[in-house]
Amino acid sequence: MNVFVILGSQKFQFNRLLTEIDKLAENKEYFIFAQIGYSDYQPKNFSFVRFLEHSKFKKNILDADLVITHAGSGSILSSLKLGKKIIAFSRDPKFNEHVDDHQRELLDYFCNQKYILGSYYPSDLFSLINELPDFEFKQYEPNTKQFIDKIYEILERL
Amino acid sequence: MKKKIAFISSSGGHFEQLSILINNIPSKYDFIVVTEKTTYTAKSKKNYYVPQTNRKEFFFFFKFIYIIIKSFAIFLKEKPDIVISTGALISIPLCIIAKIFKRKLVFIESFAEVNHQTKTGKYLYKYSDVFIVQWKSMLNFYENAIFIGSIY
Repeated sequence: MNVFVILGSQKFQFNRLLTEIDKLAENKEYFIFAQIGYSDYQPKNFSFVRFLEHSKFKKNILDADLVITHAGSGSILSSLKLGKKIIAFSRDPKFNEHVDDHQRELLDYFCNQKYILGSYYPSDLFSLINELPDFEFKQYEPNTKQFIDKIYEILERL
Repeated sequence: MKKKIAFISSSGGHFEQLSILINNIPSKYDFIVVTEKTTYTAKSKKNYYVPQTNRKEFFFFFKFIYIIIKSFAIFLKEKPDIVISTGALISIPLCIIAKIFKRKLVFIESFAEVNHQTKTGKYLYKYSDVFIVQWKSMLNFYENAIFIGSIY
């Protein structure tokens, strides 16, 4: 299974998640590639880069069977729009993983709507992976066109 | 003469959302883009960069002063008619400068905030000519905001 891991571009580490990914990568069934951003954990069992420019980033999502990501809106939505199965984890400010815990709300919404699987705790990774075969992911319907039409209409009237 | 828009945001999800607006801009507008410099930023003639920073960073104060000065320089050079921001903190100087010079300010509260205001949104709400939220629940915080659903 091709797995793409996304940790985003913010100046915060998410070593807790990378530690779990390293354990997962011991199982050679999973072919894992990660974009690790500012994390300083040294992965032992999988290859990684710090950042990817946009088209390579998109290609990695397209090639993946599973996306494991931090709960950033760009990361989740890019993957959802490309129809991917996603497991997401929210960054926790208590561990200096972000400025605050706003990622939890987004995670809650997308999990409750069954668009993704996710947890506040990276240690749940293995049990979430076990849920994959029986989980029915809801398809995401983009709202971009409606948003664009409305906002540029508002700008006309400014 | 074409109206000029200055798009401004920090990196990450804020810039993802801004990019969606930029990629769909009608040809009747001229535009520039101001964002944080990151190692993977693609260069474009119309882009200006400020240092990537956040409020927890040690050098935040000094970087912010630099961003204020640079925002002034950008504004005086480009003279935008409208400033559109998707947050976060680094966009505040340019937004305030635009209002001082009586331009229009459009702020889009982040998709990532379902039930909480961003600090930037809370601050710029009173200065914005148009304030957009992406979740209906956010209208509870911003009475005069416009809800138009998700940008994604």
